[in-house]
Amino acid sequence: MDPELNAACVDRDWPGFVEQVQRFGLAAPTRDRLNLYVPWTSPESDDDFVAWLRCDGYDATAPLLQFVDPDDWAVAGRRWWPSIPNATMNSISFEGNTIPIICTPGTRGYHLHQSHRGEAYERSVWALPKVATLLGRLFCRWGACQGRLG
Amino acid sequence: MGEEGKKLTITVASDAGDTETIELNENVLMRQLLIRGVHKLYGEGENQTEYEVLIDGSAVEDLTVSLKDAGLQDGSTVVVQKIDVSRG
Repeated sequence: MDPELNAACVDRDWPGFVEQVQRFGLAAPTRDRLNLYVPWTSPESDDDFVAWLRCDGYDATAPLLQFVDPDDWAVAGRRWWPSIPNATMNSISFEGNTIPIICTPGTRGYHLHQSHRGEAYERSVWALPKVATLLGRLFCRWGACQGRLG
Repeated sequence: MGEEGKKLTITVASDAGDTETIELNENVLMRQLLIRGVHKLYGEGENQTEYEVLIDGSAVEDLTVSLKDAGLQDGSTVVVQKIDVSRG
């Protein structure tokens, strides 16, 4: 995807993403070019989490959701994901790593999973404000967090 | 006789971040806000029982409370979204 178009799409949808994140009572997200970060502290376990949305290829491609070390955002991995038993999750192999995914349309992991790869979706499914809603569901509506996935 | 209580202008946001404003008396029940929010955001044909209202991420479980008792004020924003989404 053309890098300028990619950046322009993120620029276009960033304000709506920020507003929607905050409507769920979440902290204001931050942005580093195509990388968006949403911090959250579990009210049950008191653990800190930082969701990382990698928006390379957006909006032709859905953002890739991962979680990073709250103390070093350069480090991502399964151990930094929240363990929320009621959140339906799976995993995919991506860039040589096995990463967790949420089994709901809207993030790249879902659309890359072999069960869903052939499904056709309008790109509006992964518009950034909708992805904000997905994070809102994960953090606020899919039940108690029991710490980190580990 | 007019309704007692203040008129509130509430912003309702959809799951896509689209917004509409609704004016209601503060003593009206949350169920009315849900119904009007669903209709404004998603269309008149939508079934309001399939939707929920969230205030700062918390779902309003008891729709028989008033807007005032739910903590809403003039200028408040709520999210109206489907209770269930595709998972699997």
